[in-house]
Amino acid sequence: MNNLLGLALPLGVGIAAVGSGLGLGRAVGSAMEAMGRQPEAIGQIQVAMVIGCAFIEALTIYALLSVFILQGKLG
Amino acid sequence: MRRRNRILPPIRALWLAAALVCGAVAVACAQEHAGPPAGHEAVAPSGEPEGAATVHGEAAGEGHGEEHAVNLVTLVAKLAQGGRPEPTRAATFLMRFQAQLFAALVAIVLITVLSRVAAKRTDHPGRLQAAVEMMFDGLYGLFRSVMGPAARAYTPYLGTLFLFILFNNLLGMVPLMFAATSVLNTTIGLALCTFFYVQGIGIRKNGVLGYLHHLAGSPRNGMEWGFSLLLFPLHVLGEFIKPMSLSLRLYGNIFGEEKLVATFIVLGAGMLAGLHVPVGLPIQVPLMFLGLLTSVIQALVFTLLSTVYIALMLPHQEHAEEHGAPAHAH
Repeated sequence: MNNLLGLALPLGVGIAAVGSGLGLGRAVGSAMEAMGRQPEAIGQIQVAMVIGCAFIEALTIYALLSVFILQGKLG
Repeated sequence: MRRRNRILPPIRALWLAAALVCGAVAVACAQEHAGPPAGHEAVAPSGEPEGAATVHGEAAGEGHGEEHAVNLVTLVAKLAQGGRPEPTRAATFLMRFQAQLFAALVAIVLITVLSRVAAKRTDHPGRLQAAVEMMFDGLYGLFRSVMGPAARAYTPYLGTLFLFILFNNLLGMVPLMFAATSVLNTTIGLALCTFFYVQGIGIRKNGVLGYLHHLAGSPRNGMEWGFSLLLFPLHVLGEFIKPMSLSLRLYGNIFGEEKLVATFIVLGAGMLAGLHVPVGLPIQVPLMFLGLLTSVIQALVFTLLSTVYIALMLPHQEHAEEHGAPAHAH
């Protein structure tokens, strides 16, 4: 079972990273576009982008957490 | 308008902080009388991992789950144990309550400095007061952009939350210090504070019946009352999930960052071993910069989410009006 866990945990984090990569790419891309349209709002857009990215990142962190929790069982 | 904020004078703040620490110590001693822990956290007398000493003199744990890098408390515990083979009570206490001790340190420093600045505030501010005013302005502007002018009543709690989480996170990046928010206990405690505060605001602002009405999705006609049967459990579940996600997000980010830094320290410590050099490379420094960024962002996210949860609980007529105000405020 250790082998399966050793395979599953990093794979889980990798799949979560794919999802968050796509989401973050969309978020930052939209932010870049908005900044290009309205350069005087760049500060506000940056703040909103960073906060949005933190939320999207959190989902991958949940997957990473399962690695920390199950780390002892990897043997 | 009733002035409800009383500034705590510095001496009284110190007494309060000391009382909190003594209370924590008393609880800890009571728990110790009940029985020491399994001992897997105990400091072994020869617990130095093999590998060269790094530039900072830190050493990472073995990497099993929850073990963290060496910090001041761990060192003091090792000193307290002397060379004795089994863990003493003082060492066990220090090892068990690392997070609480560092959180208490942050709390005491914050309370002392801020209450002193507030009590001695003048119209010609010095540097410290100017810095605190800048901080308050930034935070208040942030809360006002979410909640409108009603944010003034909730700024004490939200501002304290932000500062406490921020300084705890940042303390984790200092060598030989420990981030209290990198253990799940602290973050769950903070998330529960927010949870009870938000529910309390909901009940106080809307009344108990209004609060339940809000949880049922605010039904207005017969069809919406039908939906409310489905919406009520969903909203209740959502209310419980909020503190969970808050705590897990903060814990995961800060603990993960610290774990990364610790891993890179170990990696860097053995990097020049082939050249028979007793020092390693400090390759964890770029990650520490990333850790600084993460610390600030996570404190901001936690506080902002708490603000949004409070704003969602406020009565909706106010809520709609507040959306108009910030559009003009910028």
